[in-house]
Amino acid sequence: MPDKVFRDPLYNYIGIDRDRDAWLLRLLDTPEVQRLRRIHQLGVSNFTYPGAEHNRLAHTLGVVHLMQSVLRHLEREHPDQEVQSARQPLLAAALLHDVGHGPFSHLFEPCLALDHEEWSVAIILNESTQVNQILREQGVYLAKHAADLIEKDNFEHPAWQKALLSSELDVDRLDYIRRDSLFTGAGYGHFDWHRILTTFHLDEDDKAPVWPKKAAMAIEEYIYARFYMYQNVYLHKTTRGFEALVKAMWRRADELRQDGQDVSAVPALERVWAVEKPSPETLSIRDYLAVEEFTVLAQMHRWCEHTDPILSDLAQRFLCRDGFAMIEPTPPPPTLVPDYTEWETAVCKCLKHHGYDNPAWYCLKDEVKAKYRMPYRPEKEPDQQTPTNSIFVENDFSKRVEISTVMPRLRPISEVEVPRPRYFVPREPSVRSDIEKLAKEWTWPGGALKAEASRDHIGVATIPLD
Amino acid sequence: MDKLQLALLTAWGEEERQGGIQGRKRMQKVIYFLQQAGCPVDAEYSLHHYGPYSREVANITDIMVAEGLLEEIGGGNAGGQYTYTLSDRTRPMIQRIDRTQSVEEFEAFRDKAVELLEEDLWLLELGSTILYFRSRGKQPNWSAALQKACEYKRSNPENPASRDALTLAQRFGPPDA
Repeated sequence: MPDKVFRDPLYNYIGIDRDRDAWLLRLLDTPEVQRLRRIHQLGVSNFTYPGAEHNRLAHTLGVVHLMQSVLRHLEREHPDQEVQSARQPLLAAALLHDVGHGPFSHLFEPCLALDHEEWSVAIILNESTQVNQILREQGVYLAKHAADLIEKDNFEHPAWQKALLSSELDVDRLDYIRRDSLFTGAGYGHFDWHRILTTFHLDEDDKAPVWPKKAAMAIEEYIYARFYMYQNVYLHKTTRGFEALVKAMWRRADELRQDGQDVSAVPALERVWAVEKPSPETLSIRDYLAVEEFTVLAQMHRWCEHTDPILSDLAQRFLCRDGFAMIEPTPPPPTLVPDYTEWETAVCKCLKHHGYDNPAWYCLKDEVKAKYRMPYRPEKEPDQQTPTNSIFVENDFSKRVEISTVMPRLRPISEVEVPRPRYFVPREPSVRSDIEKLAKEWTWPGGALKAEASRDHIGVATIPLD
Repeated sequence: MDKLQLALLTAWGEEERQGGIQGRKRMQKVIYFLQQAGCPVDAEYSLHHYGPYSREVANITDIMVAEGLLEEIGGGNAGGQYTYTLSDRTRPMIQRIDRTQSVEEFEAFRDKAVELLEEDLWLLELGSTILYFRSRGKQPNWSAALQKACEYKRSNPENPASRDALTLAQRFGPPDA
């Protein structure tokens, strides 16, 4: 029987064997996996790049396709039982690794206190899901094995299996960098992915993937593609501004709820908010999966009419794409405890002058985690290097080394970058120009050794107001 | 992990051993043990082949070196370890810090930190792996955690060093129920 074929803009054809992998096709048709069609792969990046409308399902199919290529290669390179017996769990994990994602991918994880990997594992293991039923029909241990490969702190299986799915160079990244580049139109994600997938071997000692020197340049291209994509797409200031706006809106709603006020919750969110901390232990899979993008958008529509002026204003700004402008103050001198309180107070005073009575909600601090600022940061000490913090290639003497030691062009983008917070403020011209002027002329006063820095994970600066 | 905490840890290493912190692996494992003992260190750890490893700890170290707050010696092409000491500009900063509650909470772990900074590196590596399996790897008791860690690190659980690593892990981890 011919393969089931999917047309795909990246690979042209993605084929799945209808006989050998009929179970994989059934898995694809489950409601839990089909829900991924309705989750934007890049959250709200389509506010910046109109073409970025691709979804998690297309990415998932791409990851399955790449995993199939990797497995074909490994079956040739290591024709032993270990690879054979790992084939089915690896394909299942490739198809299901994102099944627990919430609305707009990563964006709502802090808003709703979600961890998508935790939910992916729960969906695979819970007997009420169709995904679980199909996996159980295939084998007693298949669901558990696939979940083990996705779960962070699980070491039940050889490390190489996890490394194929989640490491510095894995099938997930190989797909999304090229896919995101194509759909945004950014055009940065070009590298010889086929060479990367078909030239590595597993180290005899710890089974870490190691590439021959002939693949080093393809990997260099891949790392540069990641770097450009982070700089230009994933951390784009417009996108980050809308993300900060959504987080602020959700935090305002949380504050009102905790204050006992009615936030006009839509039914699906009411069920989530009925539990203190939503997790697979406190919320049913069914209730979790009911939270979709249209759910949170419907909620925002309701908030546009809310009596709280801050909540309604933030909701209207998001739905009308009335984003915030990014401001970067001059960097403070190096210190042990960076303290931005005085800068934030000055911004808030300026906002108040422009009529913002609750300025802290309009001075949004954005601190990008180091792992997102530096797409490839290998560990420096060789005896601490693993596939999850380094990429290994063979040098001229066939010795395994971290790639930047043989490709020095990678060093400038592999080195640490000193973090610098960005701020988002309303983009009305008069407000923006006044705060830009403030940022330009800002000099950091003394007293930078205060031990209590302003730490607000959700991104709203906590400012003492006059 | 914040910069102030790492500076304090380095200062303790300098005062007691006059050598700062010797090796990134040692730094990683010492901070992990302290965190497990209840020290208020915010760092996400995951298990690597060489034991618990936090990218955040690695990053804050490199950021402080880039800012001139820490001195880094060693490394190089030979693949040797790095040693970290305070820079001349950081020492006076340490003297002038506000003694807030969070600083005092961290400083309460000074003796434990000094002891760990002087501990044998293999015991730190295996002990932290045992501790990881006990606290995060869902092992029901210390004996199971030792077995799992030794299996993971291809080490003999009956070896005296393995028993010493277990004792070290038990001192910093949760008691058996």
